[in-house]
Amino acid sequence: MERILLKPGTSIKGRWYGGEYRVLKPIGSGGTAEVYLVRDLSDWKEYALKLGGDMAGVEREYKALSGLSSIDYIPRVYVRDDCTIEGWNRYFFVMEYLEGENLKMLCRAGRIPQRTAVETAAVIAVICMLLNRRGLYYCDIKPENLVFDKKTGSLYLVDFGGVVGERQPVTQFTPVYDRAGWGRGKRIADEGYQTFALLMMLVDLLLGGIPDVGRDFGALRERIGKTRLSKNLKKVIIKGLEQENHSLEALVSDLRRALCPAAGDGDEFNRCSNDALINAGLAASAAFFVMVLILIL
Amino acid sequence: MPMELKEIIVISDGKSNVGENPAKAAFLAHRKGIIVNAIGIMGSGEAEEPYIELEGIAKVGGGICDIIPLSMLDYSVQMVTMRSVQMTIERAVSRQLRNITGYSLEDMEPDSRARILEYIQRMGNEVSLKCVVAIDCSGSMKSRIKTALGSMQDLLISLKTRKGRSCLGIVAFPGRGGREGRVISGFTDDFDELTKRLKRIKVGGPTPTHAGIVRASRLFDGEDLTLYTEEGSRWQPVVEGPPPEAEEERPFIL
Repeated sequence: MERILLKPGTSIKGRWYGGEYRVLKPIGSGGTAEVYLVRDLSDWKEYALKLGGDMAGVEREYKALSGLSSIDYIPRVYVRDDCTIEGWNRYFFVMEYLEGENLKMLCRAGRIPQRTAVETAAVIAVICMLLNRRGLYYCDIKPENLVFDKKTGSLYLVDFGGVVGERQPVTQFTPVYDRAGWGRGKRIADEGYQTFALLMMLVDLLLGGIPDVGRDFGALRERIGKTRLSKNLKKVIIKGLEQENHSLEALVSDLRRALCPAAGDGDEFNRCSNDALINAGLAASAAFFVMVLILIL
Repeated sequence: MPMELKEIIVISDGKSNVGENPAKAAFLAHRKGIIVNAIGIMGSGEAEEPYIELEGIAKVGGGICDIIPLSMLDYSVQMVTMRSVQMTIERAVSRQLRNITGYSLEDMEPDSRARILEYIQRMGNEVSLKCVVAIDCSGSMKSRIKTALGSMQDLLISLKTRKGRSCLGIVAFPGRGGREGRVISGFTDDFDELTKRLKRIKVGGPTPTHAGIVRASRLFDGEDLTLYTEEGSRWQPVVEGPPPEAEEERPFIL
């Protein structure tokens, strides 16, 4: 499969549904596809266009995104189509353009405060729970896939190429966040898999990298135990990493409790229903991200 | 529709320097219905040339080529394998479709082919799969072999998540005399056995990629299905019974 990077000014013409888009600049690339900022020549607005040579992959991602259009925190998707580029068949879909930076870029600009990192992990867990209920498991949790949109001040989960159904094989993941690579369970989509990835990302953010211990889980646990993180937080992280069947709901309440131990005693969180938990999480997140932007940018 | 997919994954960090052009072996393997994929490990400051050879192997072998830094190897091996399976089924279905209707998948409107793509994805997970990793064990791989072995264990982790039956064989090149390929393990889905066998890989010598692919492709002919054991420096098929160190283990699944 030849890889072609499009230059600004290139025109992409949809084969079936007639849209025409002009490439303004490349936004990112990874795996089998690239994302471009484009201008739709019919309404002159800016969109993001994901273009790839893998027909099934593009279709799978489009389908996942279009089924989630009612959820905030996920980019809106509009149309998918085929096109021909330099004689090669290519497949694309058009989605909302998020003008912002991903968590990795933000981290590079400066260390993220512990509290912010933990809150971020909790919010992602809540978003994942929402998706899981629709039978879609987002497993490639990593800082690059979390975008803070400057326009709305909100967090978005991007790159749905690796989303699979419950208990299906996970094919897109970050090796150091992958439960199976550490011998802590199978490489299939469930909440335990997501919990592990989420906590590894949190460790990555808090410590500025995953300790270099090969793939020795015992050594990792020991290294985390020796860090200067708060005792409560270390307990939550290690518990979540150790348990193969850890649920996201338990993770969210554990993380909250680690942040404010006093609130945990009343067990107010445990009495909340699943829905209340999700609503509370998302309501908190909107205000919270504005705060993050002010803090970091 | 093939009832069983056959895949070879060639892993190398350099250009073949002994024997014939490896693309020839890949071409012949592909004619037998085997898909040949290639993964190139990038070294520091190496020329582009070795990767052109690997791209050629994947091209005539009907497979995928991925050129990556060493740190990405374990991810790449499982990713190339899984994607190659999908791609192979996609092609086969598209071909069938063209035979029946006169249109291939690409000639169909996205809305109407969506369900066929779903079917293809399900097939990819369910079809039975035989896979051989042909790994370069020449001198230059010395510092990389540990990671490469890890990547094969990682591939096995992914294969185990498939619904369909999957098994993995390992061929190392160079073999004896620096020219041939050497079977490290016939087809197996036994994780522990494979891990044990991987430890026997020795590094050193030239890079006979052609011989490696030939050996890997011969595994599919069924002649190497017995266990192999090392006697002195020679590798011999064990004709009667399992090798002494593997007495209590179950035999390979064929």
